[in-house]
Amino acid sequence: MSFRLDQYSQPLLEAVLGSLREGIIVIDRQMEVVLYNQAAVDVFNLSPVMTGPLRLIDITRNKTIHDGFRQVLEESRPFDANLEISGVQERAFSFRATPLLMPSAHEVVGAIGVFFDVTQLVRLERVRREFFANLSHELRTPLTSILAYVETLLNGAIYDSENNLQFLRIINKHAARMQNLVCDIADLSAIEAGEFRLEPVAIDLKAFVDNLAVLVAPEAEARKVRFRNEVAPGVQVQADPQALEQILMNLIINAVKFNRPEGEVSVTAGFEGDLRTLIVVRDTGVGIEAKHLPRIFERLYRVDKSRSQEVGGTGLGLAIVKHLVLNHGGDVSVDSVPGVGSEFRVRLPRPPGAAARAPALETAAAPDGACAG
Amino acid sequence: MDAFALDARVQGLRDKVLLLGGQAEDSLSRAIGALVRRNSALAEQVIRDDDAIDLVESELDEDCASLLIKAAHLSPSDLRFVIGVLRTTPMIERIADHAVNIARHALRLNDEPELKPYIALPRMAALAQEMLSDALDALTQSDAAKARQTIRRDDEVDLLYRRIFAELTAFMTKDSAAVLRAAELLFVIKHLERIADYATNICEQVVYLAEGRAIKHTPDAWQRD
Ligand SMILES: Nc1ncnc2c1ncn2[C@@H]1O[C@H](COP(=O)(O)OP(=O)(O)OP(=O)(O)O)[C@@H](O)[C@H]1O
Ligand SMILES: [Mg+2]
Repeated sequence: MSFRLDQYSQPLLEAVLGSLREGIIVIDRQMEVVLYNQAAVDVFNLSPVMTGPLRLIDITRNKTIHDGFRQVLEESRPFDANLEISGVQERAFSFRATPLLMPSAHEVVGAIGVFFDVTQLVRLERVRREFFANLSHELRTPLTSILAYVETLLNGAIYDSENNLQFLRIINKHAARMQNLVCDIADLSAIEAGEFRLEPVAIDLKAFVDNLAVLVAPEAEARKVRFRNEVAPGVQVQADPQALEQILMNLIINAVKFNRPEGEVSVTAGFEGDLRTLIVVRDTGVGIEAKHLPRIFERLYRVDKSRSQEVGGTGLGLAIVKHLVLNHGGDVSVDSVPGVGSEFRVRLPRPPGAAARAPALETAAAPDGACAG
Repeated sequence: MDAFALDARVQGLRDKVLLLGGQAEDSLSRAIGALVRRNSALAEQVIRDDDAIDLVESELDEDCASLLIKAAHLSPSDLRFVIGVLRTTPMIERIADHAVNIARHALRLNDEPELKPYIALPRMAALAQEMLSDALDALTQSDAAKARQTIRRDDEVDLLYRRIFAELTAFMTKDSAAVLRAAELLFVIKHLERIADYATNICEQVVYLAEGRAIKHTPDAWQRD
């Protein structure tokens, strides 16, 4: 080794490095490891049995990392790269190696490698990109037909008494679709920004779901799907009534939409310990393949675009559900068997104390106007 | 054997052979990703990178040769290591070749509709990948115990191979439209099985390097541990 740390700087350096979240590896000119921190141990899954002096090759066989360090040693300038390191899971890192210069020495005595975990960033970036791609697509489709029909009308079809009304109806339908989308997006950003103020109260679930059943009925009848409120009497939940309505309506309407004729949708609920209430929306519908499950709560994600088009969804419902539930301090999960059905489970706080009483439910049952919230 | 007692040039050799192993690992994991995630761009990368791997292999050959010429200056453990590298390098190179072949099959399969019996295949692929990675770890750490453990896993691979083989052939007789795709997959599992064999061979070399004796012809040597 071409250099060593003295007995005082070593512990200080180790303490500082140990507190960093970035993995750090320092090597000397012979590619021997002089120093590494705990984060590097985690990144490279280093086992504690590796004692004694280590070479870089003992830490990783990744070619980009070796090439980078070598380039820094030879050319004495920084090296940057993005890496994928697959340990237990695939993780993405931004890797930067810089030359290590010592005042006493005239040449580079080693190289410092910093490994910054960007897995989450990469994922978010992907979601963001897809969101905007989808969004412009979702807006363009109705807008294109609106423009086409308006142009037809302007070109004379407005006097065509056989078709003009029909054209206007189509325009109206697409405009409504766009309005829904815009409202949903506004809702979602408000919820995400924390502007959607929740006022949780104790709610009696059985009565609450009975009121929702009235709203669901037309859609359910049209699709010949049976809706069953199987919530046991006395089960309560601590939630904002308007948010709870949005949560349950989104789940129930999905369960109806993605069902089969003569299918069934049921809502059950129960307490889970002293702190939580579990609400389950179950259906006998098309189900969701496992590979889609992790993604359906993303904005604008739809499993089957063609089918969703037919049932008129935009893929925002579950994203709204997820954020509302999270804002309550709860969580939502899903299980599904393709061709058999799905089960969405929402966990929300249970009202404190047995004395909590169910509030009036008028707020929950009132259908919303144009843009809710 | 203590890796740190090695002569500096032998040390460089060790870096190089392990890096080659890393490249083979990378090719294999991309080839499998190309197949399982139906990502043809990955497959093309694997095929493209193969030349670089072959180049390192021939460099290693030369390095070993020039070291062996000076054999008189090498300690017995250095000498043993050089011989170990000489034997291991072609195995690693073969593994990378099999990965390239898997990538080629993936390219053809990705142009066709997906065939379902992929279920056990990712497991077999993961097992072959783990064996390779463990073999290289054992080589890195000169860990004979780990090498023996890895050798034992070859049986699991063979078992999976026979199972998937039976599944695929049953598929072929049932559904004539699937024959070509099933045949491609038969090749894929054959390559995976070969890769596991080579990983086993590398482990045998590790035992040789660490303990200075060959277990190749004493089949039960790793039964006790
Ligand atoms: N109960 C269910 N059964 C089967 N698939 C479902 C179910 N619920 C949701 N999905 C799938 O998840 C996707 C996302 O659902 P989400 O509610 O976010 O969007 P959407 O219903 O398509 O549109 P929106 O709710 O915005 O009108 C759906 O397009 C559908 O493919
Ligand atoms: Mg929905």
